[in-house]
Amino acid sequence: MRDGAGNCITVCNMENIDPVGVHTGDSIVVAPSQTLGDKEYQMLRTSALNIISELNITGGCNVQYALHPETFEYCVIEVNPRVSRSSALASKATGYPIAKVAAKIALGYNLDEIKNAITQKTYASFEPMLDYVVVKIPRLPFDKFISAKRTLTTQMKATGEVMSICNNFEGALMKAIRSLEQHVDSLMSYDFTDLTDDELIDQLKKVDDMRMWRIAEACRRGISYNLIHEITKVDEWFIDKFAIITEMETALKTQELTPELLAEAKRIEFPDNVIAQLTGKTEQEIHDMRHANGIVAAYKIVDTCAAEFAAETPYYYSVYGSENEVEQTKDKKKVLVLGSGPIRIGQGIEFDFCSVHCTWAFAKDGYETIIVNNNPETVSTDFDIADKLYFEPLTAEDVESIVDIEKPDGAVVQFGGQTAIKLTEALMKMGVPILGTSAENVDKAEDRELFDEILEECEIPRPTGGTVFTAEEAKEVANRLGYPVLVRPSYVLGGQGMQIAINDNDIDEFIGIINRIAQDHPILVDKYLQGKEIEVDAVCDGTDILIPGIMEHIERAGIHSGDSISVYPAQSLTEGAKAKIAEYTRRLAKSLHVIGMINIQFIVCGEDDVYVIEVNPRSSRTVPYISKVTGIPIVPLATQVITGKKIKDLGYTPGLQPEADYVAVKMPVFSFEKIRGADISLGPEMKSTGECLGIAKTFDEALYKAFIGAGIKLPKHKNMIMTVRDEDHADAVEIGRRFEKIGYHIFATSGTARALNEAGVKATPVRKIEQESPNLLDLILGHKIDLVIDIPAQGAEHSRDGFVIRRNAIETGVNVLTAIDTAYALITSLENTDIKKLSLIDIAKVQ
Amino acid sequence: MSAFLLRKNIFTKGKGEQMKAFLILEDGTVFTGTSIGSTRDMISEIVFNTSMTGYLEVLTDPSYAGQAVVMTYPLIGNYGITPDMESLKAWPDGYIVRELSRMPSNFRCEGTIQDFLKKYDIPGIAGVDTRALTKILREKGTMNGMITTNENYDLDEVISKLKNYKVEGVVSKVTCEEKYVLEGTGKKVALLDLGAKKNIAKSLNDRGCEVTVYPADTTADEIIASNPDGIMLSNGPGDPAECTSIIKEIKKLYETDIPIFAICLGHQLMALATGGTTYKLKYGHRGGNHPVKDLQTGRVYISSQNHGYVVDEDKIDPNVAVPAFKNVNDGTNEGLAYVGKNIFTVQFHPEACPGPQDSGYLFDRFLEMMGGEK
Amino acid sequence: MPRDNSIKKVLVIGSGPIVIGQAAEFDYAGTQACRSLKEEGIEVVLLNSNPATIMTDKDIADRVYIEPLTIEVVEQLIKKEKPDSVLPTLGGQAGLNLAMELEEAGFLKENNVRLIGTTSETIKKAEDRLEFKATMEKIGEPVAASLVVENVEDGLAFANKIGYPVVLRPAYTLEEAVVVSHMILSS
Repeated sequence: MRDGAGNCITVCNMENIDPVGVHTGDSIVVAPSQTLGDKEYQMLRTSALNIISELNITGGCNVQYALHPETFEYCVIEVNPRVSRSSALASKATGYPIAKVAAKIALGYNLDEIKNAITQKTYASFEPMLDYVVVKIPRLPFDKFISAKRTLTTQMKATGEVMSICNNFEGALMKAIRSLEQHVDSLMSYDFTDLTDDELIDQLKKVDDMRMWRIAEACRRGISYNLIHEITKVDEWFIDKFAIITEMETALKTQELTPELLAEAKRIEFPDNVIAQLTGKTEQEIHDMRHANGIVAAYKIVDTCAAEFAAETPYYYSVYGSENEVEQTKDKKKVLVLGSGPIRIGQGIEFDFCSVHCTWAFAKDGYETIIVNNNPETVSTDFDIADKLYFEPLTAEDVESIVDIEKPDGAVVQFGGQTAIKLTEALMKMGVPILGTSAENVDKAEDRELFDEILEECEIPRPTGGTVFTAEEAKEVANRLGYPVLVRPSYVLGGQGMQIAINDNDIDEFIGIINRIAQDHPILVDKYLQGKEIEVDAVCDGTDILIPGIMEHIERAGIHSGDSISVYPAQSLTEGAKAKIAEYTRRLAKSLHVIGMINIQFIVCGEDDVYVIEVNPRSSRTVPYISKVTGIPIVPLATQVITGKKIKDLGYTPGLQPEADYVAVKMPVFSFEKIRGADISLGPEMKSTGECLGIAKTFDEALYKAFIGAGIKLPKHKNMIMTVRDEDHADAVEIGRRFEKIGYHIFATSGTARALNEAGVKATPVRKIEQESPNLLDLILGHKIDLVIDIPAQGAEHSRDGFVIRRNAIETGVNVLTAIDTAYALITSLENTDIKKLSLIDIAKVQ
Repeated sequence: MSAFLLRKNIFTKGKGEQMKAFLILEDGTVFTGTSIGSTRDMISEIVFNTSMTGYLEVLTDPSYAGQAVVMTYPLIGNYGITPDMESLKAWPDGYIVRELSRMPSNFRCEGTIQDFLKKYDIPGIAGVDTRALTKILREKGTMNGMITTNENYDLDEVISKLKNYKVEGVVSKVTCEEKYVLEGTGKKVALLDLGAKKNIAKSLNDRGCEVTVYPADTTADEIIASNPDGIMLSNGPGDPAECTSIIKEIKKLYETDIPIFAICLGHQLMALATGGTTYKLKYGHRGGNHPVKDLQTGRVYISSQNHGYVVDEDKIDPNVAVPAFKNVNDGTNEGLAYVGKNIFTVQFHPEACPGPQDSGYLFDRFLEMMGGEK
Repeated sequence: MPRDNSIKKVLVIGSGPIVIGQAAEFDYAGTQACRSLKEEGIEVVLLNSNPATIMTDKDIADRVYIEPLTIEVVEQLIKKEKPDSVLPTLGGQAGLNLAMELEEAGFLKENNVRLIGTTSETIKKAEDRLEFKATMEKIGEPVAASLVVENVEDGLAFANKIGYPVVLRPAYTLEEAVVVSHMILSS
């Protein structure tokens, strides 16, 4: 950091465990650097200060170096003269709020005039000293994109990251691993035992997210550090640390579990379930042995100064075998808010929005708020959001340790996505009251049979379906219902594993994929209905219900709601349909005894045949967007309801609220170009990483803004390609005609071209890619195409042209639309709006 | 690097071969850990250092003579022992850490810290909660402590011994025995070795100076007679007020017109020699992140520090010296400029090692004062 | 140095939708910055097309525009809200690029708006690969051997000269060109 007077400091020094060649966003990082001596450390520090001074930066700066491991030779890879991804990590790792200080510097303050918020006594002109170790592991989306290449390169692929803090490296690493929520909890989680030594050594060459586990296996087999280092270029110091962890595994497997051994296993953060697995005991036995011997977690403070000054901040991390610094406060009622962990496809910052607003609402109500989360990128892990912050993995055991010390009066699981919901049962076992909708009721919504009964009682129609455990059962149900059907695991968010099956083969494939991840819950097979997909978020106080608005998904049902373009207020529903939707929402919320939030997805077929697809008795990712667009503070409202207040008493009239003056279109944004080899056709599995909003007085302008916001900058070359299924030819003609009218030249594959030409829309036929050049692919790679409308048939078809076309289009920056509805939406907006005359709306003034 | 690792499972042998050790503080607190380095008993003044790197430079800093150092950073020894010693041996009486790295890794690593501590016969203890210890020292102030491997210690007896321990006579222990010269073709500097860190002489030598290093008990006359272009008063251990004879000699040096640059203990002695006073800080400044403000320019620099005593700024005669640097955190004095003289002194360590090199420019200033060019 | 009192109304540009490589960290940074500015009594106008963020919230900024991050929108917004300064360094690459475009087109000057937090000169020195290289060389900071080439032959010749592996990337990271931002080539 540097201020206007030229004073500069370094905030954090981080070392990547992965060598140069892997993007730092995809690397495992440790702070502070562990293998640098003072000489190398100061050399780079001085260099960084020289750079920031020469560039005359006022504010924050990030410098990335490549340091030769065997000489003092280094080179500057990159300089970011601004707050960057690592600034968030650096701020959380050190407690030094970089962006805050940068903003003050921008206003003219000097570092020695800006107070250090943590100590409250010292100033920002100092360098944080850590007395702990921080590890960051990236969260990679390979579990979402099964066909994507897992290799890590200089192009970043991570969607998010986790961070952990401990007073030893092994512990920090173990904590970070279990924070990922990717079914890993130790260095044994990926099994390489069936590889021969030679195969393993060969596989060490792979640079991907499983490398650490391969190295661990190599350590177990006694392969020399030198060899491992030669191949992977990971520093031997880290290799030895992995080895220490594997040695503990062996010790637990082969020795008697004495209190000393257990204490040491906990010191390096082996979770109870892993210790149980290795020692052949149950998790409960391990838990009890710990408590009997006083081996419990203690909490330390992140204070930026290694205890040199007394700190006022409530920012904690856990350790074993050390003194506890948390003071138990007793004067107010306490609530535990569980965060949503690392950002991933299907669970992004929308949940952080909810957690933070919920925390603020509780605070306003006089509660002491405690946040538990492990994501360094989010606002929820800023130490001055809640009264206390625990930067910890979100597992049952880690949360229990916090509960043992804090003894909260209640916990909120409605706002932390799947991560928080998964902890409901555990929290109940710990005796922590769940605030809001009870766990039994949450379960009812997820359990097919119970849910079916509820729908019966409420007289609400739903698509027919069945619960199965095997592919055979699934095929039976599917054939009974008639294809196509929707297949998915019953207890998950983000549509993971959700697919549309059009035949028995699809069923076999999908069930295989779902069962790869050890599943405790059954699989649902539903009849796939065609219709408009509608979504509602509502607040229920036990008596009344408040529905801020009804959202409509423009893409046809079958594409995950997180990936579809959605519009509020719903544009094409009849009054009758709206009334039914509101009524069904009310019935379901009451029957499930919802206190707090509920999210329901409906399908509307025809005029007003309304069916319920899914019910989630918790907040959803649409909450932030709906709150902002309607001006109704949904999360604070839900929070107050959770604490016992009634909607009427809060000044609202229950029921469906009047529609806002504005139309808001939410557009998903994808990162496909970053994930090589991923199939980009949108299906029921969610794939977008983020979203943007277009808000305007008219639907068209809102739509246009949404497209622009998502980076779709049309028109440019005014050339487009269309290739659609036979059943969509009619729509293709309509769309083609309108694009032609605004000046587009259309290329199409033979079937589509014929249909267009026959209807009087000029289309130039172009050869399919398996035919000789010039063909479709050449056209795309020629960089003169604006848009590809490619509607694929359902089912995974990686070997077919469609996949190749879509992939190549995205990689060359050409927009691809894979649903007819989106194409209609786009042509409508292109016909109607002018980018220079957009109306700007200040949502701070909405409602 | 793996050559240094005894590749056996450290958990299978139990902790049998690792001896227990105890750290007993003056206030009665006892920390239990494992013995590192020497197994003999040690009584000393316990201080903490917050640096995240540079443990070797800390171990070889003569200013720690008479003290036992607690490293707040929990992982020590990661890069082993490299050729970066700041003096000829390890000086602290004792060493207290959370964890020593089992295996070091660095291209310049020549040995492990475990072997180093044994070689220099430093008693130490690992496996203690250094953060809790630091908090005690912060809250109650620097205090004395004992490290012992004797499980049958008598607490009362130990505490009374601790209360009687005092850091004394350390400068004479750490200074060089005879004068020696670092050859150079530029300005001639006389460096009074009060416990000098190697990099002070090296910083001067790198700028072309010929540096003659004198033992602490050298007379002012001898130094003056050698006709130096400048005099350097080094850092060193202990209570400055104790160095009465050295102070007398420094007074004589003050009275000449020779440019003088002093660091840490040297700075304190110069103040005492010219009528100033010093006092002991509650727990000192030791680490590499202390911000000091240059009062002339307003600029703030991050500095390396290691001192338990400080000059009392309020008692300085403004006709003699004015404050030149101030500590941004607690406002204590970090440097003085002497009125009408070519003398400037700083409390912090511009020679770093370990720590930030931000104030290396002070050596350039000294050079200019002596009439030399950078 | 006391605070610059001529700064009263700041336009903060956010980072838009979450994509791989530019994600939640900017929400955190942006939120911190907005709160930090408001603490000082500054009126904050926020532009960010991402509705999921905590930043785009009337509790965090005084005026919140969830609008596309395009040059046209920023220009319109500046004309409408008349801020005296723009803070672009918290919105990732997108924010920075927009600010640079506006500055270079003279728009900011025309409308009496200045860039705070950093100057366009600084941004250029760090982001333009040629200028960056020159700046580093000036202060003696080593950078990896590199060359800007405009055709394949020159690229091959240079790669063979310095030796593989090499990293290939566009010379200026504009949003439009970020389809392939880096590629490692080993031969």
